[in-house]
Amino acid sequence: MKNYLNLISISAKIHRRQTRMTRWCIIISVFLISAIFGMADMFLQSQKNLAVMTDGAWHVMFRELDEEQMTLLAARPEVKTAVRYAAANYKLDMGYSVAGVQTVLCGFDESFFEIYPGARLLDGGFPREEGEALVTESMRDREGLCVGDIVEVTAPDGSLSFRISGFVEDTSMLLQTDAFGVFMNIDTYMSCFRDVTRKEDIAYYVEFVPHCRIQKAIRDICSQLCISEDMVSENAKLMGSMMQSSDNYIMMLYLAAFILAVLVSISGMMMILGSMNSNVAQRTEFFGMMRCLGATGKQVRRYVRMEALSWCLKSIPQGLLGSVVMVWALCRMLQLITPTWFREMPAWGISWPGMGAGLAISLLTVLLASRTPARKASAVSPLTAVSGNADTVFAAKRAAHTRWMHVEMALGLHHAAGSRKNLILLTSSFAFSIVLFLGFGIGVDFMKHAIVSLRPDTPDVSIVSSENTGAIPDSLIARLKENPEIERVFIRAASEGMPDEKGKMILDIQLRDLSDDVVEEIRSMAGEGYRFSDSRAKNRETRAVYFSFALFVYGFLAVVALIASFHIINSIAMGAAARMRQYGAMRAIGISVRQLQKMIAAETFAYLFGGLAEGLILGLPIHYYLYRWAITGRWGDVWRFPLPECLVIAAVMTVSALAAMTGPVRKIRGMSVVETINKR
Amino acid sequence: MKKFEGLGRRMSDTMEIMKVEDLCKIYGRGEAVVEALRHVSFTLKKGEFAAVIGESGSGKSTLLNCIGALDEPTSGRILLDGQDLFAMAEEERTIFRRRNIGFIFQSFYLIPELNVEQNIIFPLLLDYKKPDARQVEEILEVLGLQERRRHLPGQLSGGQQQRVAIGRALIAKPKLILADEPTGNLDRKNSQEVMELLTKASRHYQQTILMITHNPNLITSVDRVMRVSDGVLSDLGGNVNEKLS
Repeated sequence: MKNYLNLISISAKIHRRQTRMTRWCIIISVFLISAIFGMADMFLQSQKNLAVMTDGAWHVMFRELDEEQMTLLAARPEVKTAVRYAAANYKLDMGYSVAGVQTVLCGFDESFFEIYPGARLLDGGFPREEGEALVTESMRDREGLCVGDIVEVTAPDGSLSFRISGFVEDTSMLLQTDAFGVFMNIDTYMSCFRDVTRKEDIAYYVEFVPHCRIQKAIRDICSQLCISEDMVSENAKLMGSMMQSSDNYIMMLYLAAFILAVLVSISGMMMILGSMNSNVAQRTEFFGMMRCLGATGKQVRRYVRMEALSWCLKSIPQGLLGSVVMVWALCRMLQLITPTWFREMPAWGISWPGMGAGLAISLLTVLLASRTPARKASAVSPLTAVSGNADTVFAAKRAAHTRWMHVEMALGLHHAAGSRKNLILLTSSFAFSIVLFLGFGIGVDFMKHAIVSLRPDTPDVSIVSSENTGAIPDSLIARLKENPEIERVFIRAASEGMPDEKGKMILDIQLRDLSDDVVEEIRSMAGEGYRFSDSRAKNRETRAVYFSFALFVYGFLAVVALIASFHIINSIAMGAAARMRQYGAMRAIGISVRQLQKMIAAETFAYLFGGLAEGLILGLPIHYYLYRWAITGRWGDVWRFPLPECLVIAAVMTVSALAAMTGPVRKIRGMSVVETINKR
Repeated sequence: MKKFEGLGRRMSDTMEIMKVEDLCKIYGRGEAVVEALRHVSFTLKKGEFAAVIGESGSGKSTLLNCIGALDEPTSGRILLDGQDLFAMAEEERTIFRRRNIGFIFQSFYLIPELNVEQNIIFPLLLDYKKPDARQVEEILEVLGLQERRRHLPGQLSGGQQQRVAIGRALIAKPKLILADEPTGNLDRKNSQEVMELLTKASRHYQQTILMITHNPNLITSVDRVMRVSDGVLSDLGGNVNEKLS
């Protein structure tokens, strides 16, 4: 031993059990902080992924640009990709068809596939030559087409022929409307359809270079190229997930989430602070003894700080590792359940923002948290250490009320409420968890409003009878029901504007097997004369969006609940550990284990009820205002009392409080009275 | 301070209140084994004020802890008022202990959240009994704590705290009071006062007291002295000063 600070490692070995709780506290706090930031990071990544897959990787779309503006725009250094795009018959109301099937016509530059990874080229190549076109997969399959074949598009005023250069995947919209798509290069398109294309269906999509300040770039472009800002539209989902949206609502949502994440961090900080305070308080006599032996206040302060750092050295990496594993697990879940949509998510990715936040916040907290105990420790009077009275004269400022209740209950309540500062600190930290839970709970309401989840009767495919064919025959329904690949068939009357119309107009079909073969089989069973709507792709999309959002919203809620739970368990255990010698003395005087159990229960539930009441008083107005802003302001729903959220967090806290009591009670049961009261 | 007159109970010289039979206590195993008590046997009569003396580490605290049922002996029996302490279940023993054994510790062990009066009546409160106001008043008066009845332990001197602890030991009229170095944390004047109080309690309440101490000056007023040395108890009888000299 060369330095008095070497005592830290020696003491750590001997008091391994005593410091275990503090070390666990740091591990769990680091884990929770970095997990919540890591989850937020992965959430943004997943939403970005989704946005790219569903809406494309473009950031901004300009309308009504002339050639010169387009050339100038494409040449700007902040523009990575610029794509010309135009479409006709997008709403299937212009009378273009192929083999009697409504057909959407699109023209775009080849780089369209870069900014729209959701549209995949399956076979062949881009139609570079004039008169060439790509057609959709469904057209290929139903019409038996190959690359090089000629496809004839029937127009209201004649017909147009294109040589097929390749095939593309159907989009969910095309599948749902049972329409075909014919896509060509923008020059071919313009030469054929310029006159019939609506102004709003001609666009110029722009993807900016990474790390570009997009809002500033848009302003610059608009002012320099004389483009009206009304002609600019943002890819809202993508821009939102990149924190670059001009939509105040989206940015405020992210701000609210960020504030909540900061609050979670504060909660973690409070946990570490409480734990370290209690750890030092339990060793008052040790620090007094050090002072007795000649250590200066500064040396004691340094000792406490170095000790805190030595705990960090092991605990922080463990907490970080835990959060990495959790983020991996979440990403794997996303990929396993919706592989197509989240294939870009890193399987073994590390969230550096999460790790950074966990490391920085916890290190800072431990160092800051060790300041108060270090000051307290250095202020311990040497006399306190040698008099043996350190435990008997602490805290109490007024006597407990034993007149109205049993003495053990009165003492338990007094332990909770005797020190107002302690009571406020603990109940506030419990209340804090409730506020956080209610705050994050708005995320569930938001999700339910913003993302329409699939209803139980959502069909995979639908057969719609047209006005000519009338009702769908019972024989077809019976045949469909017999098909083993079909789960359910719902018969629905089309009631749009025809409430009195009788007859079966729409068959909604849910499939056991979602493969194309089954869908084709159903299509051939139905035969001609019916409109077919394939919602499988749309459903997959909806499921992916809902699932990814739900996973993170409930993940956040789970982390907040975990924080609340661990905080309660930790606080109660720390409080009880600090009083263990007093409990020992009471046991010596004649209190029974059962009475001590009641005493701890009274203390625990005083904190719990205090925390719950405080949490609801603070949390409900916050919930009300957040709800009014995020939900009522957007969808008009009236605020409701968040009973499920309150019940869940109250249940979590009550169960945690009960669990928190078991540790101290077990210790008391196995306590040696003599050893406890003689402990120095 | 008021005398204990009027509080006294009839003394029965022959009534045996406690019997310790062949008590052994062994700590550790193998080479580290320590025999703290070796075949200790003795009895205490009702109203007797006995002291156990011995060097530090001689086993006297172990003996007191075993008699007080705070520690379990390795073998042997302890009968208090005819009842074997260690034949009872834990909960039953705790209740028996708080009704029949009063403790006075060197470090007082008062409940910091209870005031003087509440600390004194604490054993009765644990039994959910209503304290007799007259008795409480009398004890407070005897202990000279009437003025300080609403004070918390933290507001008292060491001597006052120990007086509260004596009051707490007396309130339930236990069959036996065990005092573990009751003056160990006190100055000379307070030590003298505490010893006077214990002696008076013994004389006037006919309270059986077993005190352990390593201070030979404290045993002048006791009825009987025993010495523990290396875990072996020897009875030095009543005429202490002669035998110690």
